Amino acid sequence: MEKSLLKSGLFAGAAILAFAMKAVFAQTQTLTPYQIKAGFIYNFAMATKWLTEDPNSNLPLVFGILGADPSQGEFELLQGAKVGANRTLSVKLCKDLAEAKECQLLFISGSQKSNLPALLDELKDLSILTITDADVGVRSRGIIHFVQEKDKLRFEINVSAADRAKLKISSQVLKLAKLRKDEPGGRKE
Amino acid sequence: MGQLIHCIVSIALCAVTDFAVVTRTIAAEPPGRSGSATNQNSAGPLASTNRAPTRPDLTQFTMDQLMEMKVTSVSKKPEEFFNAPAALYVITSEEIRRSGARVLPEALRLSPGLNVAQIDASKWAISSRGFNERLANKLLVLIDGRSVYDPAFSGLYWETQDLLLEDIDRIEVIRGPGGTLWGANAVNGVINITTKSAKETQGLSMEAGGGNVYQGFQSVRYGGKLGPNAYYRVYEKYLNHGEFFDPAGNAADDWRMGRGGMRVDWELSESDVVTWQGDVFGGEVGAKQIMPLTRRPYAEITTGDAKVDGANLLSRWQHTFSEENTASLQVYYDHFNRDDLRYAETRDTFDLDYQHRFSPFSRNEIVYGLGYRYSKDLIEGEPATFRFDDPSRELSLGSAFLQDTITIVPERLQLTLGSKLEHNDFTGIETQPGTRLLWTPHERHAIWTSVARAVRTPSRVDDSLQAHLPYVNPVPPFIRSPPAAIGIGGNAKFESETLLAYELGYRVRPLDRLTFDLALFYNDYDKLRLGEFDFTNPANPPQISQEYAYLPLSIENLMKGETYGAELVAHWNPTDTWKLVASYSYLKVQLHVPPAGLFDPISPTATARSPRHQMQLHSLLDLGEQWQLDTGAYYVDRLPTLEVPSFVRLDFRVSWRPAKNWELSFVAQNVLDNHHPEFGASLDNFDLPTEVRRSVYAFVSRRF
Repeated sequence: MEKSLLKSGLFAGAAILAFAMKAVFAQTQTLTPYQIKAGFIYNFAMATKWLTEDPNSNLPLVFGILGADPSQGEFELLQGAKVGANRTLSVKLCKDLAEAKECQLLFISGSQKSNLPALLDELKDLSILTITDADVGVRSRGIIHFVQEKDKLRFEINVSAADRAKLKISSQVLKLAKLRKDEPGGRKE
Repeated sequence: MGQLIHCIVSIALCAVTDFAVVTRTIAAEPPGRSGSATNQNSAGPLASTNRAPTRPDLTQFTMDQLMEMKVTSVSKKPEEFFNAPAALYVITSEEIRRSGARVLPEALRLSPGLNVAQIDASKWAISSRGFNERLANKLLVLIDGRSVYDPAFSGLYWETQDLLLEDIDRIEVIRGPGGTLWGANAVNGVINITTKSAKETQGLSMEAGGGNVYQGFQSVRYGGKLGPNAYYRVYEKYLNHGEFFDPAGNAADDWRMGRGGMRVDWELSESDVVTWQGDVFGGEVGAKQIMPLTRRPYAEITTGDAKVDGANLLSRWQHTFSEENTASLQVYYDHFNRDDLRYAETRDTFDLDYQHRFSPFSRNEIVYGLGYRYSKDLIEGEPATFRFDDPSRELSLGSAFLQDTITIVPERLQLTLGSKLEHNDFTGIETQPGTRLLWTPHERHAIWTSVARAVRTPSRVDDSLQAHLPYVNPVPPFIRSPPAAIGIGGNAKFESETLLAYELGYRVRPLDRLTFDLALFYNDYDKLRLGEFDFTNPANPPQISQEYAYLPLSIENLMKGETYGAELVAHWNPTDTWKLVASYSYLKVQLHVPPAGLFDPISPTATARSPRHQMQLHSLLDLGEQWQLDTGAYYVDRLPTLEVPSFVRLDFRVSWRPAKNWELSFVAQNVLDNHHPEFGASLDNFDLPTEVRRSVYAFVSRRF
């Protein structure tokens, strides 16, 4: 009894192993959540025009991170990435608001949670593409918010805020986003 | 020997010189007391993270590709607990949900190395590393920091310990001693159950279903907000469980249990969280027991329902001074009442616990704690056959522990030293020191070793029970004639059972998606409980008449023993949609009874009350967005002294989500045979075992 059991168990195990091996090799690369976000941010950088600046500028585009870097260094993988014919991305960990104001893209970390609304208000009229994780609870402010839906990453764009910041985000990206507008008569959380 | 030393030295040299490998491994922390933990992080104090070494080019993906990527962090769990210097397995809420378990003890089957056996439909014997029985006395169980170990009977009534399973965040199962942090009776293992915070269980969730064994069950949970930083949930759960199979006919072990509870988590400030939680439960638990009689036929089989109810209320305040400096203060009250066929027990417990964790120097992390527990019981039985010297007794327990985790070589070598001092009313002060060493030569390898002492303190039973065991033909396990009753006499001089445990573990992650976890142990027990026939005690003399013999048995610390074994667990996530967990465990128990003397025949059967070999294979497979197919296979070796043959158990679960928020599940358990026994006659309560039946059930859940 035990022997035959063992045998059939071994067979079943071998079959599962074979199937699984196949699955492993068919598997594509997986990324951590912040690697996926970094991928999105790179695409945002490519798809956005800063209307206030010289369209032929070849200064690096500065992507700042304000607050403790939640990606634990993953965002820095974008350092030096090409975002145009003569333009690269420069990743900067901002020490304070003054440094943050010099960026074109700014990810504001959840560690700044308590003063996030104030920060975003401070930045709202500057030409900065502000990005946050929606779960830190500031959807009414800032421009882009990452939202996790089940196991996929989605993002919201507040088009009114983008207009105010004089940013033109390509329709290709807007098409994929959940669009929000400032509600007349106040902001909705 | 020389070779061994050479080997160790060269390995150690490798570790010290291995600076070339650039890894970032957060140092592992000691096994956490997450229930009462100072850490409110959902990953718990045991968590540590390893970074994937691959550095992908993140600019290569298009928006469409990124939109399709899954954000599941695969093999999260084995990584989180990869560097724990203990034989630890974490049962996740997903594993529980997908196992088809309806009640807490069934969910524990998922832990490798643990032996979970159902005695009848409502009773479980659960133990780690041997000595299994209904009231397994060497396993400590905590639910959100509340101990549910009963100091009167030393063990716990699993049928009364339940939760809304979907609210469980995780179950940490530590095999091996945990006395240094958790205190007495964490001898062979600790089960630490942590529920999700109220914030994580917002919204409405409902479930209802039924089948042939789980005849009807339903639950409702609702979570909401009390204020900007305060969350609550309330829940209710009911189960009507049918009978198992009894070869003799009427099993009478059906049971019904209802419970409800609440939890509030209030974030007072960025650094203060206050939690209040409580539960109430009540039910009737069917039983078929053999009851001793002092007249012919000396024993009779009785069926009936035990009535159980209870309530608890817990409050915990966690304060964070800084990331490395946290404290928690916890207080709880617990009441339970059990009106069993043979006795009635009521207990009220009050417990206060303080813990503080801080790092006074960069290489030290110190945790210390102080605790006090008071409990009062009332236990009444049939005076002739089951009584305590004092029906009611107050017990107090004071404790203090200190543990220091020292980083010897950053990211490589870590030493944990600690001890708990406990004062109990039976044996006075008990010390439970322990030391653990963790070596992480590489981010994919972790080696740990531990030496620790643990004690099982006397219970009310050991101290002062006066009870008759039935001793008549032909009811197992008491199968010898002539008709006689054995009278157990508690012994006020009974001391703690002691353990000195040696452990060695190795974890390796050869691939990102594959982890192996091996634990080896050698346990050296002393002063184990063994009854000795004592015909000279004037307080409890033997009685012999023509048709009746009464043989007094005194509870003594006369047995020694060793156990050794190995547990191997493999986690493999072949794809993001498929998880496999396989495990094997081996256990050998050797017990030594003194060469001369007349002893009880039951205690030494512990050599074979836990299976020598156990194997498990779990497969969790997602088939698209809507379907899940999960399989669990178990092999459990025979229990010779209980006459339980080995068995293979096979479970399936299929679930379908036809629409958002809706899920239909179908579960079949024990599909391979109509019925089989998992355990034999219980030593503690004289419950007669029944056989686990093939179970089929379906249910619908809706979550908002």
